[in-house]
Amino acid sequence: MCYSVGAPRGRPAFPVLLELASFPKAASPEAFGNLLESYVPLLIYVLIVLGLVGTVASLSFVLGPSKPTKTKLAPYESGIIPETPAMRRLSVRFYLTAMLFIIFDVEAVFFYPWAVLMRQLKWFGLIEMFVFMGVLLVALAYIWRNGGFDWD
Amino acid sequence: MSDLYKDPIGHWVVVVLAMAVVLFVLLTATAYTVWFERVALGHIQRRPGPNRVGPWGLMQLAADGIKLAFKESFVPAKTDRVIYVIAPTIAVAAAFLAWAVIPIGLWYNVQYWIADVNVGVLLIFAVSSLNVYAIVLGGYASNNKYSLLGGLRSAAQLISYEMAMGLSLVPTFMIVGSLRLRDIVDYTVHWGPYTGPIPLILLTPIGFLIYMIAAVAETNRTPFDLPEAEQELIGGFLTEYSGLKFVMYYLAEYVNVITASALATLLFFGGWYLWVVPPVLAFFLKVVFFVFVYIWLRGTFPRLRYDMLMRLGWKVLLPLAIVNVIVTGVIIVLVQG
Repeated sequence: MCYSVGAPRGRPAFPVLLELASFPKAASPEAFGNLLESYVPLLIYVLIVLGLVGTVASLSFVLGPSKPTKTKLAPYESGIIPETPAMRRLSVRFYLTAMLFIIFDVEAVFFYPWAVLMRQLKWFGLIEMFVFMGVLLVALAYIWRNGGFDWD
Repeated sequence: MSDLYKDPIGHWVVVVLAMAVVLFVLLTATAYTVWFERVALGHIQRRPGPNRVGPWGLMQLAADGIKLAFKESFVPAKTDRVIYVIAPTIAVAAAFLAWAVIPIGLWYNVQYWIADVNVGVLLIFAVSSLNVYAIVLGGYASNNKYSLLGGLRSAAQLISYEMAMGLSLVPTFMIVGSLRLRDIVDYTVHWGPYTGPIPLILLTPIGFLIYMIAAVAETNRTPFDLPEAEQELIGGFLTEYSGLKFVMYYLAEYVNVITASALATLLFFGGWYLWVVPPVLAFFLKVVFFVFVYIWLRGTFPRLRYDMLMRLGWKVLLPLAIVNVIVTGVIIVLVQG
């Protein structure tokens, strides 16, 4: 990599960023470089989408009239004037569901790398996973018996 | 064209243009999905549906869009202003981002996709999970009891079905051995005289069933449209939204429907392979079919009660998905030896 006059000397602080900036001319043959390359279009797409969405959100304030009145700005609750604030104490069921989700979804994520490599791991991988799934199923049975999945 | 690709600047111009085309096609497709749904539902309910604006009512959505864009779009009193505005943008951004890694087809050596990432499916899951934030934040920021309840219900529903959806696809990954969507579509079998790609539903029918049910729940469509159950919650999290902000939520819902249909096509129905039909057209036809299945479900089934919904997710789909993973694993290892 060569530097023009006036560029900082010595080791670049962010070699990866420099590589990206000089892509595709200096596309590195290493696998890591290729991996990053496949994400560059994604990054550009993210920026385009954010730009588009931001434009629509700001347009919503520009287009159309703006004549707010007190009644118009009040929350719509079927014509009844709200007496209490909307934020109230919530049913504990929602918190329980969120916790169950954390337990099972984090474990479900472990299935993905295993599933991709399963054909190479064969019986060893399968039995290892059965042990893991056994723990998962015991937890599932316990929660089931204690009524964790019942929504009353 | 090939010279343009070799030139570094021309290469990126082509890439950005392709992205603009994807976004444009997606927006148009969304509008016509809404039209298609209204006409199909009309015929299911033995009424004509939209047929006034343009031929066969085709311009109905343009009319609706223009009307909504010029509606007053205010922020109600005592709301959390910043979150109230940001929430619908999260919904749309998440819906569009999934299309970065969806491969539409390979036709005359032209690749119809934006990024070919080795963790494609994971990325789609990651961005589509952001939809929960859009709904729960929109409900929370609206300062309305119905919005809050709708948002919370939706959050509980989405996270309950996300697990079943994630686990339902694990057998597919076990068979193919890759998370890259292109590899899944290109998965080749050698069955006697036949060598070539097959629709993977033949190998994981239970996985497809779970995926389809969970996908309907994930996109908040009937019979799982509890978040906006109008008889009990007015519009749910949408109650306080109007004008273009309402359009954004609406747009996100329909883009998600198309995404879920595209994923069903890619993961279970062989993507762009369909006998002699040209690849991109084949993909389009299959997606239209799944969109129609969504509409058909909406026209056929009544809404579930909330406790039934939770029971189906946790007590039926989740254990079934785990058993499906175990059985598929044993079969693969036995067959492989």
